[in-house]
Parts: sequence; structure tokens; C-alpha cells
Amino acid sequence: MIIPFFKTIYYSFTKFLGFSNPVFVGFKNYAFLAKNSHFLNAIKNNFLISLSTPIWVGLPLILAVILFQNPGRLLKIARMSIMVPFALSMSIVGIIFHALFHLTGPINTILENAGLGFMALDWIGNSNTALPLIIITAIWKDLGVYTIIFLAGLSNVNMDIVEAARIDGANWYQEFRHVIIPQLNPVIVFVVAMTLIGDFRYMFDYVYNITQGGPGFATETIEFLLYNEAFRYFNMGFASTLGIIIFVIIVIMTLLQIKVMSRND
Amino acid sequence: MTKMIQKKSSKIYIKRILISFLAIFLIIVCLAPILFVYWNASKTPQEYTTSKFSAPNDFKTFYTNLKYLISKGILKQLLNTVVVSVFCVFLSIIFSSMSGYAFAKLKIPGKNIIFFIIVSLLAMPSQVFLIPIYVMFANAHMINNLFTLIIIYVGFDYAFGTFLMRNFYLKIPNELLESARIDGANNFQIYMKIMLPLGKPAIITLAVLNFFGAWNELLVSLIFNQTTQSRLLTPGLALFRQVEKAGGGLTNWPLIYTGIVFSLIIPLTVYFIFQNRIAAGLTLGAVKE
Repeated sequence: MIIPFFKTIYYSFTKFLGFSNPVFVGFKNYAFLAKNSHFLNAIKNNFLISLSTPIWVGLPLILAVILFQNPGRLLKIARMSIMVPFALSMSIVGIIFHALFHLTGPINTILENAGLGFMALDWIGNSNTALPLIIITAIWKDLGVYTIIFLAGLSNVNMDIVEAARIDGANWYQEFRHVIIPQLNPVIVFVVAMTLIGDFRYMFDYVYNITQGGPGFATETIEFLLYNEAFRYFNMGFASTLGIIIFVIIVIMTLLQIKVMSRND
Repeated sequence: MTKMIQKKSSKIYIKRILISFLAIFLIIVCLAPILFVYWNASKTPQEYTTSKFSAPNDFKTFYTNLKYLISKGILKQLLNTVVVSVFCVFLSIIFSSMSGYAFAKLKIPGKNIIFFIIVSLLAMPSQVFLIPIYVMFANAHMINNLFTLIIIYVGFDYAFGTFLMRNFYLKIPNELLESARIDGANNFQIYMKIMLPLGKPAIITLAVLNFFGAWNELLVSLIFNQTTQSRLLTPGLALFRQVEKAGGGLTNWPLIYTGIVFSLIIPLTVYFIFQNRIAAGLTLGAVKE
């Protein structure tokens, strides 16, 4: 694992077209990145996906608190249901969401039958809705896993403090914001870091199955670009440069996570 | 006073109704897409176009669809996937539990540094290794080969597995190992007789997570296994849909749904058997004990 890593670094400084020998070109690939509109576009898309992190983390957090504080049979069934997407691969989830939001798919059929035909869009073919659709798909898939993680965190929350806050007359928002969130902070930092890293690592399956980077390049992310460059055009030197960029971004995020966590301790 | 209690109880009542609505909404949002796929798997394309929500005319259409997919090699893909997943799980467990034991309990010079390097591999994205590994195996004429894929998956799983097993084994008291050593057991015997049986909960968790990892992986198997003989189920289905789309005209969605239903049989079974272990595994690392 260490050797391939250094080989990638080496390749990133070469012009390497698959099966011929790599030719050293210095920083040419890196210089090319700065003016390559595909790369800049892909990075932009990854950052746009990252912008959804508050929803991505907030939804399961609120859900976990509700599940934690309220008993009930329906909620128990709901808790089981939200975990089922875990068993599906990201790839199959991508295919299913492509089917659902297809121009002639069931979502548009429902909208038309409900008299909301004007809202029926070509979700996948429209550059304004394609990226949000990918984000929604990913949130749907991760909701259960994150909720379970938050629930485990909540079971460690000191309930005496929550009780004390209630007796002092805290309403549910104050209780959530000032009592529960601070105690859950390490878990929240962990999940945020997981989401941010995932935005750069695990979007390939969704992009591949839902949009193939389209329409145009509206949903092309950096790993999808890497896949295309390396294994469609066999532009492996340049693709290695992309790999190194992904690596650097993830290292920065991991270090940030460690820093924030150690500050909390 | 009674008014206040009444007000409070009606508030609780409203809260209950809202929460019930929320629960029902969640159940629908999470399960409806999957049920939609099952519901429409036994339709013909014409039937699907005209009526997506009504019951299928004939449930036998599912078998017709499945027969067509079998003629496209989906059984071979299933077999390949099972072989890769089983070997991957088996090998990962052996490597992870052995090195987990070593890192937790044995005296090895520099083991903390080595462990730190292994854990830092956890943060490395697979895309960083992909190209050199591909070039290496392609030069050795070892792509389109199940064995190669198993090696790669086991390599990717190793860091997390070692991390998990070490943390689990740290909790086992040293006295237990020492008394075994006094009785004359060597390291390997201790591993076989004590560490493996005691590690069972962690090993099951690891096995299930590795199983889903191997079964659901797309990128690596898409790149490394490109022939019909070596194709796996997940990329097979994704590619099948791409081909359908590229063929022009109407995509035969029910056919794809049948493929999804077929490829979900084993993962869903595993999921329902090991639900609790999965939850335990996912919360590892997130929550300090």
C-alpha cells in the first residue's frame, strides 16, 4: 500500500499513457490543473456537494434526538426502516434514484396526477437539479447509518443535566442547543468529517449511475474525472495528479478533524 | 390548575400525533423506493410505461425477465460475487485478528509506529492507489481475475480490520494470556485457543462489514474485471443499465428492477440476520467508551 502510494506521486509528475513507459515532465501536470476547466469544474462540484453538509448531518441528528426521547411502536418501525438502505449498494441506490427521477419516472407521474404537472422536471437532464438530486440520493442512503451513530452517542449523554435543564424551565430548543449538542460534540465532529471526506471519496457510484457527470459537466466530480482520465482515455499521469489532489484534500480534512477534536478534549 | 394540566395534556397529544406522522413519513420515504422496485419487477416495459403503480398483470413476467438476465450471464456474476465476498471475508478475518492480537498483546519493537502507519492508511482514499495497482496487475496479466480482486479488497480492508481487532483485544486481561503461557502455550496456541474464541463478537462485526464492502463495491471491480467471465454483480448491473440506455429507445426498466431484486436477495438476508452487529460496528470509532 505504501509503494503504490509513492508510485502515484511519481506518476503524477509524468506523461503516462497506460502501457508505454512514463515520461518525466516535472510540474507540468500540476500547472495544467490550474487552467484546466474540467478540473476546476469538478472541484467546484465537490465543494457544492460539501455545502450540503449541514442538512446531511443535521437531519440524522434531529431524528436521533426524536427517536431517543420518544418511545413508541411506530418510531421503532421507523428506526428499522431507515437502516434498510444500508444493505443496498451505493450503485443500486443510484440506479433506483435514476429510475425514480427519470423524465417518465414515478416522481413525475405522481406530480402530474396530483395536478402539479408544472413541477415535473427532467431532474437528471437539468443542470440545476442534477447535482441536488445526487446529494438527496446520498443523504437517503446515509440517513440511517448517521442516525444510528448519533443514537449511540446520545446513549452516553448525561441525562441528569438534561433533567436539570428541564426543571430550570428550558424549552426543547434550549435543551437541544445548549445541553445535548455540547455533549454530543465529538460525535458531531466525527460525522461531519466523515461526510466531508465522503464528498470527495464516495460520490463516484452515484455520479456513474445517475448522471455520468452530465448534463454537460454539471455533476462531474473529481473522482469521476479521475476514472474517466485514467480508464477511459488512459491519461494516467494526469489522473495520478488528480489522485494526489484528492489525497491532499482528505489529509487536510483529517488533520482538521483531529485538531477540532483535541481542542474539545 | 386543572386548566394547566388540560393544556399540557393536549400539548402532549399534539406532539404524539406529530411524531406519528413523522414516523409514517420516514417509513414511506425509506421503504417506498425499494418497494417500488419490487412492485414493478414483474412487468413488461409497456405495462410499466402505462401503469407504474397498479399491480402487475402477471407475476410470471418476473421469471421471463429473470430468464433474459440469466441468458446475459447474471448467474455467473452472482457466483463470482459470492466467491470474491466469501474469500475476502475469510482472509480479512484471519489477517486482521492475527495482527490485531500482535499489536495488542505481543512485544514487538516499533509496533506503535507500525500501527500508526497502518491507521493512517485508513484515511487514504483508494483512488490514490488505484492507478499503480492497475498498471502493476495489468503488466503481470493478472486483471480480469477474481483472485486479483480478492487481494485488492483484502488489502483495502486490512487497516480497518486491524484497528478494530486491536481495540477489541486490548480489553482482554493480560493475566489470562500469562496463565496460558505458564501452562506452556505458545503464541499461536494462545491465538487459536483464546484470542479467536474471545474475539468472536468483533470478528462477526468485521465479517459483516467486509461482506457488504466487497459485495457492494463498484469502482475497483468495474476497472479490474471487464470480461463477462470475471464480471461481478454490482458493476454488471450498472453496466447493463448503461448499455440499455446507450441502445436508444425505451430503457427496459422492469428488467433492471428484476436485476436489482435478484442481486439484493443475499445482502438483505445477511442484513436481517446481523442487524445488531452492523449497528455495533458502525458506531465503533464514533463513540468513545
